[in-house]
Amino acid sequence: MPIDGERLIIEPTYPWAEALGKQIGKRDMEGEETGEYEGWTIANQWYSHRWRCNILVAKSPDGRAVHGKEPAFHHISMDLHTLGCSDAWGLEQEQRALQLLGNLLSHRQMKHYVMTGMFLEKSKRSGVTYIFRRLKPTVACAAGGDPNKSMHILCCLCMHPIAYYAGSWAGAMCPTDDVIAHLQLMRADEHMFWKRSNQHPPYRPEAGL
Amino acid sequence: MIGEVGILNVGAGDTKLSFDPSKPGEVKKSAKIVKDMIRRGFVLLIEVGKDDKGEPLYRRAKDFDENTAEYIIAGMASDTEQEDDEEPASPPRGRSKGKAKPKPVRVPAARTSAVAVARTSGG
Repeated sequence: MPIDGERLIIEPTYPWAEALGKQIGKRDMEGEETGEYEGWTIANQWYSHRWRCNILVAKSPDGRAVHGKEPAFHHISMDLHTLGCSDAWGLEQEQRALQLLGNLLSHRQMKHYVMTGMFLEKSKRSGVTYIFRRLKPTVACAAGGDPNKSMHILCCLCMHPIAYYAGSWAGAMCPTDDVIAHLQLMRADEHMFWKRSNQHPPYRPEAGL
Repeated sequence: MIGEVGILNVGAGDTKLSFDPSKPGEVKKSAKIVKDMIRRGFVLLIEVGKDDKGEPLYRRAKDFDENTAEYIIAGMASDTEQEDDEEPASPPRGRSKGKAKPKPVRVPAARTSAVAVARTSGG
């Protein structure tokens, strides 16, 4: 569902992707016409560990390159965008997803999820422990094969089937459906889960830690 | 137990397909939809049994036999090996000395539950 002010990234082979893309594209162009930076393009961007921010290099229409810093200390912007995207979901859909999740989890895991919005599960295949979270990337933790060592975070895995809203943790499907997709893909094909997910380092705001 | 497929979806939310053997028309319709979903890149995650602790085991269906309404699952013999979707850069030379690939296993759709996940847009 397109939401004003939010950019929907759709999987290109989704049957309605083209129609939705046209609608969203039209809105973006309307916004750009009045924009101050019309004709500017992002030439490059990377994360600076020293400054803890994203460095952006932009090119003006006359070919001049300018760089700037985009702070990346916290994730309040993503939190607020996610809040805005919640208009896309209905309580009925979320309730149905919770019922399905309830059939897939143990009583204790489900209690954790309802009370805290997250639950733990250890992969039988790899031994990696996953923290599945509602509206946040899944955290993958491991002790490096030594049970006496404390766990460390490998990365945070972000994945949304069909579509997601850029700059937020919101997917096109209701939050618990995204959690089910993560959980079942990890259980059935862990390799594919990692392959299909965006792997955010724990220190980045996108990781949601 | 009647086999079901829960399809994670946008809009109205999850939809369910049923494989009730007493309703052959419905089974035929569901089988056609599942086959089409696999062709479109959906991932079907199937409960294939229980482990020694009684906890359910899940696998990804590689294909679906529309005529017999069975999921086809590859690589169930080994838990540690994981088959990749990507094709190798070049075919292996000479005779392979490694372990033979496990034969695909068929799981009747009427006897198991599944979750279907659409292609991912990233995150």
